[in-house]
Amino acid sequence: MRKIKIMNPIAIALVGILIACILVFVGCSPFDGYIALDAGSGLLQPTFRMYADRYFQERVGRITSITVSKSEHFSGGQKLKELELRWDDSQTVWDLEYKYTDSLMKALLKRLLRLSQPISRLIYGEVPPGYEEKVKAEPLEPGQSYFVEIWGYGRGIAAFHGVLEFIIRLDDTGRPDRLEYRLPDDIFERTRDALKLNSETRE
Amino acid sequence: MRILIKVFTGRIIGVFTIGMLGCGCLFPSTPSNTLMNLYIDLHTEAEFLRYDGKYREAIEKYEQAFKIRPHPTVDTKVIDVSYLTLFKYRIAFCYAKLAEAEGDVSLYVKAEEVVKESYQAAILRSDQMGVLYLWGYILFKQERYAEARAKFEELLEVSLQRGFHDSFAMNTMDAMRKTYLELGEEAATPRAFGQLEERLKIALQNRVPDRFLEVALYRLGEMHLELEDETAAHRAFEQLEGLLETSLQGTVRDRSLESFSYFHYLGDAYLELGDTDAARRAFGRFEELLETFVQQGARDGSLERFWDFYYLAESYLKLGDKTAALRVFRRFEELFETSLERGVDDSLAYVLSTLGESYLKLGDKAAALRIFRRFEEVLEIALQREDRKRNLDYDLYRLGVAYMELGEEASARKVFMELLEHFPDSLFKAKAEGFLGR
Repeated sequence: MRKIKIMNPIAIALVGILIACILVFVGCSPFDGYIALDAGSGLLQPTFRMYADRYFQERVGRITSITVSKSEHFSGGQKLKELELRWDDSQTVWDLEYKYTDSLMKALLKRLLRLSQPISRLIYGEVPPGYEEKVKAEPLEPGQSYFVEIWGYGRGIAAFHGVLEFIIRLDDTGRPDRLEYRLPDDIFERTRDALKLNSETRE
Repeated sequence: MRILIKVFTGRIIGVFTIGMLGCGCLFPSTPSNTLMNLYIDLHTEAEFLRYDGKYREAIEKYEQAFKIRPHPTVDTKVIDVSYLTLFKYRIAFCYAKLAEAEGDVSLYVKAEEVVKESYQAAILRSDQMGVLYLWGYILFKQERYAEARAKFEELLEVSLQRGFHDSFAMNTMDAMRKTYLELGEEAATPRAFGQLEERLKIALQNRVPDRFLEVALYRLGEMHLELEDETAAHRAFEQLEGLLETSLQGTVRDRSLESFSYFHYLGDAYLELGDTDAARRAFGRFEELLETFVQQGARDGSLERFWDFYYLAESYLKLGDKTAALRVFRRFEELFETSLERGVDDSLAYVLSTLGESYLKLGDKAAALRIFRRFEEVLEIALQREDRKRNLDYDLYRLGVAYMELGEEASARKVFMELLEHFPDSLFKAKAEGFLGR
């Protein structure tokens, strides 16, 4: 009889934890992430920073893969040298994937104790702890455009996806001068219909 | 421990206490109010407001966000090349739309100020193009047509230099045409079109498949049609046909069906130009490709393109080729049945009535009757469901009329009676009563 009384709280605790998990997972919704290049970044070895909105920031789960690709795009039969965020052809130059080595309990415990933090800063070519380098980092070529894609999840299942394109520009003497980047933004396309002449349409 | 056990043994309370504690552990901290996070929040709010058409509130939020955006503390050589341009573009857009909504000209002046800042910050040509279009738009709206023309011409030049990477060239041509019209310079439009055609010709010689080239050629043909220059329109459509055929020399699987849908549009365009041979050729090519894609889709279970068959059959009808129309309608019916087996039934009533009417138009009464009987079965089921009852009076009316045309008077009477019984206030009441001779 006494034993049962002790077991009950354990069962209740387990159900409670289960409820906690359900509450967490049910509340999930996809949030856009936000990547930028660190202002102090090296020109040939960019440093990426991962942000997200206020409600997401502390809750980003695991970034599962990070890929940097060399991109090429054509227009009217010519290869473009601009940052475009539209790629006709690409080649992976660095690929990282998270290694799931912890058991579920260990992962949960780490999370509860705040021992596992999502990556918020990543230097090109440096493999963060817990990640496996599927494709070794190739040296970046100036004048060539690249894009980085970040995949992962937050709040259990919500996908977190960020993209950024960058290019290393040279100066007149052929030395790396600056690192230019841009984020995907389709504002022109989204507002185009609202800007038809002789129309009063809204976006 | 004893206290805990006591709490836990009050089972429900225990479970929820642990549940809430669990939530607290998983989300232990309140969201951090870093400047970057606040900035992202404000920017997101502004985006929603802009989307909702609340332009004044959106401008306010954008400006607040802009003020607090963290700036690098070091002299950096890492540059977000589009940030400032696109941020200012958003504000200028809101001012322009606000000016339109409130009819306040001073807001256009404000919009122009901001769009100028946006343009000055633009590094990428793609950004310059977007901003120039808005600038031209703002000027056009103020009826400053000569200045608007200058912006659109500049935009066209940038767009042409870049090749046909997007559909901006087409938007610009359209805007220019309207501006020339306002200026009474109609003759300038063909000149600008000629410029465009020249560049297209160079791009075509490179023979690199580019979906924007297809869009550009099609739109060019359409614009020639609008200007009633049929020869030029035909020329553009023929160039497009040639380009599509070149693309086909690669494997069909490499391209989506969307690109080849241009064969269908081409057929319709040729039809409008009165070239029935070319129309037949284009429709035939599309039918062939459609079949290939459907076969591929059937293998990997990914393609649902039966509606393309329906629209193609309609086009054949317009062409006056009843045999082809009938063949394609039957194929549509077949594919539709297959899709029904996979549980796609939302549009069933609509499909059946439309198909039945098409068979009627083609004079295939047996096929029409078969389809309308099926339509009646579907309606009977739908009438039993309150949530599906909406607009069924129109469907019943269509069915009744179809039965009348097929000489199925008894069936027609039954359907009209049902209409009156289920929908006593229907708009079709009088017509149904007319048919019933009341």
